[in-house]
Amino acid sequence: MNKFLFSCTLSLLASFSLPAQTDTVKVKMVDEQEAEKYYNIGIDHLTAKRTAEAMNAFNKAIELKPEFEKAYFNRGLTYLDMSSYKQAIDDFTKAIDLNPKADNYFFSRAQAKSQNAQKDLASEDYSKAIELNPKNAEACYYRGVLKFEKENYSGALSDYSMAIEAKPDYAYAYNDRGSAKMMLNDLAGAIADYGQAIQRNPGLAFVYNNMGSAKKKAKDLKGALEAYTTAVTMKNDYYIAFNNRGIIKYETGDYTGAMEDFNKVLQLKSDYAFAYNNRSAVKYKQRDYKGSADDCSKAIQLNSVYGFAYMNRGIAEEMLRDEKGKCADMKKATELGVDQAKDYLSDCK
Amino acid sequence: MKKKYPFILFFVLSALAHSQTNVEFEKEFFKDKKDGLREAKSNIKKGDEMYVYGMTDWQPAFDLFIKTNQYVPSLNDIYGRGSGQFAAALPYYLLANEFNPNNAVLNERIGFCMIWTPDGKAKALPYFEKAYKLNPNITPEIQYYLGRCYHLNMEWDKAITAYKASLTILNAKTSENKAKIEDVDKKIAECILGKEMVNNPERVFIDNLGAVVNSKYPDYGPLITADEKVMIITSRRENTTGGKVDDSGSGEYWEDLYISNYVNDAWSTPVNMGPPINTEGHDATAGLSADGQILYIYRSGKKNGGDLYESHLTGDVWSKPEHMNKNINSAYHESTVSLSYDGKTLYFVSDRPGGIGCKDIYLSHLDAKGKWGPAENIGPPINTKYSEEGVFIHPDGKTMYFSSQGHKTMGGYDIFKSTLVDGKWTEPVNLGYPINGPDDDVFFVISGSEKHGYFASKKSDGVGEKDIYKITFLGPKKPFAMNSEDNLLASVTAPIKERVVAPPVAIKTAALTILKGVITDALTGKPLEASIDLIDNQRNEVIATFLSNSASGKYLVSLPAGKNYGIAVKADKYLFHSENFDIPNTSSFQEVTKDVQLSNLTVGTKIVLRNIFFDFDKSSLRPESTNELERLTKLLTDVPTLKIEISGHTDNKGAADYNQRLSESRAKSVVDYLISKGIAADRLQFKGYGLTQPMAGNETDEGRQLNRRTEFKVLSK
Repeated sequence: MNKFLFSCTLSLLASFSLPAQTDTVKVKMVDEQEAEKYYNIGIDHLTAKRTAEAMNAFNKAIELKPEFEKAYFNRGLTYLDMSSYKQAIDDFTKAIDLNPKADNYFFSRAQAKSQNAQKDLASEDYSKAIELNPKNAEACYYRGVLKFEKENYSGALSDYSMAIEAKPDYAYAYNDRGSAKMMLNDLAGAIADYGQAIQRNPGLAFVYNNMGSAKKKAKDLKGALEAYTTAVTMKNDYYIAFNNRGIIKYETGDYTGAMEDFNKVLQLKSDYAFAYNNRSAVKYKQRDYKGSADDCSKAIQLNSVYGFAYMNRGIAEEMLRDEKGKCADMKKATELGVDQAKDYLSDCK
Repeated sequence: MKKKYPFILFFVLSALAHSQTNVEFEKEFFKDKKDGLREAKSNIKKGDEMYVYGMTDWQPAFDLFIKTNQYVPSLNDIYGRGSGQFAAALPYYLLANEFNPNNAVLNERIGFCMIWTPDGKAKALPYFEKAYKLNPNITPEIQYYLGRCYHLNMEWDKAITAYKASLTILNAKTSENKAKIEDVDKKIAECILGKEMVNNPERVFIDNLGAVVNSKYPDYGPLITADEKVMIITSRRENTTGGKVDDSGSGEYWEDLYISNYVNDAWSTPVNMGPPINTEGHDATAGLSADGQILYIYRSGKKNGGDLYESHLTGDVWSKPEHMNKNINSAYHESTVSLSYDGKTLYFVSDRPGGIGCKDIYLSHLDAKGKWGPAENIGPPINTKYSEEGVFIHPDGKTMYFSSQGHKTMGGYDIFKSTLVDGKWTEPVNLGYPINGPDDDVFFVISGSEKHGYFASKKSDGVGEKDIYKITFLGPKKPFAMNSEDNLLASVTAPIKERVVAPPVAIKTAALTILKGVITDALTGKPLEASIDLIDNQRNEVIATFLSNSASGKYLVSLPAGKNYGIAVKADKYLFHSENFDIPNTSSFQEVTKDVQLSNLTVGTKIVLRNIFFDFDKSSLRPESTNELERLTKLLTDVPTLKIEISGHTDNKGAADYNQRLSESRAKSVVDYLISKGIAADRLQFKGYGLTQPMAGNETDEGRQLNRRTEFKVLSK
């Protein structure tokens, strides 16, 4: 999954740099335009991911022509590629100073600020970009993402809608709007949006996973199972979807299937605490109380503040007649904020 | 079950049976085994003699029961009539069956004799199955008994099929058939319920109490104190009083009561309680008060159908069991008893005429003279037209556990629970499987915490015969929390965790506080027999009075939730001690240990009056104080030479001079009250000490509460 999303992100970034390339067409290639020459060389290097060479070229261009706004902008993009966010922000700021009307300058600075842990400032820049160009679908989308991350789901929803309006084939925006709707408990709306995302781009396994989760919430366990199965079929190392499918199988009483899925997750990602925790529930149902408690212990080993795993271990220990262990675990779970465990403490001395 | 004429029936059926595989006890089939045949026939004859003997006991009881009660009795309803003889017939029949295992009549007869034996349910089934296979028309009731066996073996679907088939012979509209049809319909319903309950078992552990408590002889009828520290059981082990077997032909020792204590996390070996509790006849457990100071005993009478006796523990000595009065004991059978937490209501079981069913639960109130008043049938929804048994009233004052054949059971008696709401008992709820099974589940007691139940059962993996078992209730299912995450945002690689909002699970615990401890002399540390008044402060009523044990000083008081309680501990020549417990309705089970030291009336002794309440920031006495003030008045009246000082104390909140004035005016209010009740003013002094004499630190709420108090000091006596 990681790799998959990373490549998506890259292709997006590449598409954001397109305006710069388009601009080069307009530049007159005459000999006296030394700065522009370096600038164009820089673009070639940048496109070919030769960041050091690109950097040199843009430096030369700016040296020759200190008011060259596009050179600042493209050097900013080069810094962004090098993960030098502070320098990127400085260059984008310079470009904005020289031309405060370019929405893509604000957009790119927002991207850099977002990477530089300045999400509030990033949001302001996205807003500025949208103000300058309400049809900037990416700016709308990314502002929506920031709102989503701040749990402002209705705000995110309206930004995603703006993005979709500006760019009707925007699969990502449909996916994210679906997620915002799911968070707002509009499950039918979420399912519809995930469906739209799939229609626009049928190759996104994570959309199927999210669809599964929306259907699970809507109590359509059969539909959820199908969606998760599609996700893992498309992407056979998609451990998150295997974990989700395991839960559905558990909830529908298919303990053998659930066990297989959780085992598969651990084969793909042996440090995935959730899978140990969830497998413990299956083992409990299969009356393997010792195995259940052991799985919880492994989850706790991987995440020492995993409150639910403490509670679950306590439940297994009850059946192992380890009253002391149970009470200690319920207490720990309560301390870690698992309210449910508090009720179970009433059995303890 | 029309009357059986065994001899005639046996031979007639033998002659009629022409099933291919059925083998008669005739020479033609055993030409080479003449001796064996002769012996087998002799065994059948001996078995038949016992069987007929059993029938003459069983059949009339059975017929009379149907006629009187209009329903088919269980073995329990007719007190095992005939079962001893049926059991005695079995060894002979089994020997004959060894010689010829393929005789339909003999197989049916063995099944019939076996079904009445306590552990015969699993064993009887193959004989009935074989009899049916050899001859499906062996007796009219074969399907019914097959159904019974399947039912008792929890083979629900087979039981239902057999019961349904058994209905075909019951179409004649005699009143006896009506009762039998009702019986079969009821048993089909029991199977349907049983199947459902077994599929949804209760979360419990069931443990044998082990070889320290249980013996290889029958051990049953456990009684426990609310704090599970004392257990009294009925046992038929070899050291029962007189050491003789009873005269019923069972070959078992007479019943005696045995006592065990829970010490260092284990039950001690049960000790024969000896005289006067045990006699040479049957002495069995019937009931025990929550504090273990009053014991009810069942003794089978010569002509009174079984009666109840009451004994009190004073120090280490149990009083001679007293035959309970005629309101409780009748000419009929009285069995279990349960005393309410306040000792003022007695619940018991009797099969006296005039009830709703055969055995019903009755109650009796303690009258002004301390005698048990007329018995009242507690009526529906507890009592049914069938029998109820094994009543147990929980010390929370509002929960009743009892066994019934009449409510929705999965077979025989099941244990039910009902709650008193606004003065009415709720519809009883079956405690479910595996607490209940298809057989009789009866005589069950539960701890004050409602976490443990105790009962007796005969299981193959026990110590021997009937044993005492403990049920640990684990409460409702505890669902596991599973965790997941999703890639909710297309452009963000980090997945987002799903928020787990698990539904809250209500963990019900008994709404009861058990207050216990030891009362001693403050100076010598010697245990004291003191009376403990339990007072409802709001209603200014003494709810109950208990005595601490003179030998141990131990006491135990049950405080059902929902009241403000005053506790007054009094003993002759001692200053009384008081405690206050405000227990809201919402509080759950707790056990509070409070050891009390009583002071002799010596000059200088100080006593804190915990049940005197004032209005906030004022010196006016609140009405809840009345009981304590009356007790104080009585003490001053009882000891006319006593001179005391009443002092007021505060915590460190507020200005010192303000606190001093408030505490003084509060002390004066108490003195004024005492004067208004006729106590001479020159015997009384009042002082306000403000915050100058704290009893505890002022850093905590608890400490400050201890410091806010009214005290009295003996100035002279």
